[in-house]
Amino acid sequence: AQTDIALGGIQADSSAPVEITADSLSVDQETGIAAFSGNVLITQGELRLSAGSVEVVYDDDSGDITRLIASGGVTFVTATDAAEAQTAVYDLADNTLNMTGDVLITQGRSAIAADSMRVNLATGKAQLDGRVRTTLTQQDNN
Amino acid sequence: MSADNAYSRFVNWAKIILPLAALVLLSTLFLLARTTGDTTEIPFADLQEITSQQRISAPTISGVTNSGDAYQISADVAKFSQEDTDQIQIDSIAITINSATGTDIDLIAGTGEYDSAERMVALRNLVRITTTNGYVMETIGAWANLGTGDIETTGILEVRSPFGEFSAGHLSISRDESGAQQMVFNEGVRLVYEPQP
Repeated sequence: AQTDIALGGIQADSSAPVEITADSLSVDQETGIAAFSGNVLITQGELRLSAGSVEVVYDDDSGDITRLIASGGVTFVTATDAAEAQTAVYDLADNTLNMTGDVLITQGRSAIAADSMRVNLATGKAQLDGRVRTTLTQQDNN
Repeated sequence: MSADNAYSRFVNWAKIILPLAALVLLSTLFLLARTTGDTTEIPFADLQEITSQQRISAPTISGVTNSGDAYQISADVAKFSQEDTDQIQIDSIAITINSATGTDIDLIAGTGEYDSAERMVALRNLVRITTTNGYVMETIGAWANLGTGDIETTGILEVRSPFGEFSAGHLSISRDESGAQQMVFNEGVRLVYEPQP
């Protein structure tokens, strides 16, 4: 099943500076793979993505970061919503965030679970796949 | 006897003039000689310092670490300390470590102390570490262990990397068990990346 939702509060402009803070960064000299680890926090404008470890995929000659592959439990927080998953790939090139592995999105009072979610950060549109289940918590009006 | 014709007269005159000219030429040779360069006087104070300790100028020390990386230490001046002959004080030290598999690492520092017994080099006053895969790091101090080829910084670092600039609390470059050379920045890393439009 595939449903589309709108994640509010996203004004991710892909030209805002990306700040990554972590406990450590290890670089394998032979393969050149650079990976942040230890409560990694990626912030760009309003977006905040925290993860256990994040691998940086960059273009060698231009030095542009093309993708950030986060794993080890990822939480993605916008101004109004929050989403959790096991892994996420933040693609800076086409400004999308692809979260996979029992995704849980909390929007206000409702919570939506799915297998994977693909968010277009420019528009805030999110597309959920897999067993999508929505739970609405009743307004307890007593 | 001498036929009095022009040619003979010319020859007789030549016999007198040419030797005289030669003599004049020869004598001026030494008058116009260039003065030799002034001798380089060494100021007496330096002399005192130079003779007071053993020192080598522009030394190079080269060798191989246990994991097969060839290293070379070069410097302006190396001075041996009196008490412990293993200790060598080196001014403006440069170390190059060419590793067989991984990338090469260059370290330069204001001063260095090389302990030949321990094969350890302590680097101080603005250490810059450059690796061939595009990392340039600057810190205030570092240790280079020429036995294992490991490098450890003692101060916080500013790093320029292929994907942006970041600061880190500490860096250690070493080989993991599989022999791959790892650079680990820890004690807090902060990268700010400006995406090009």
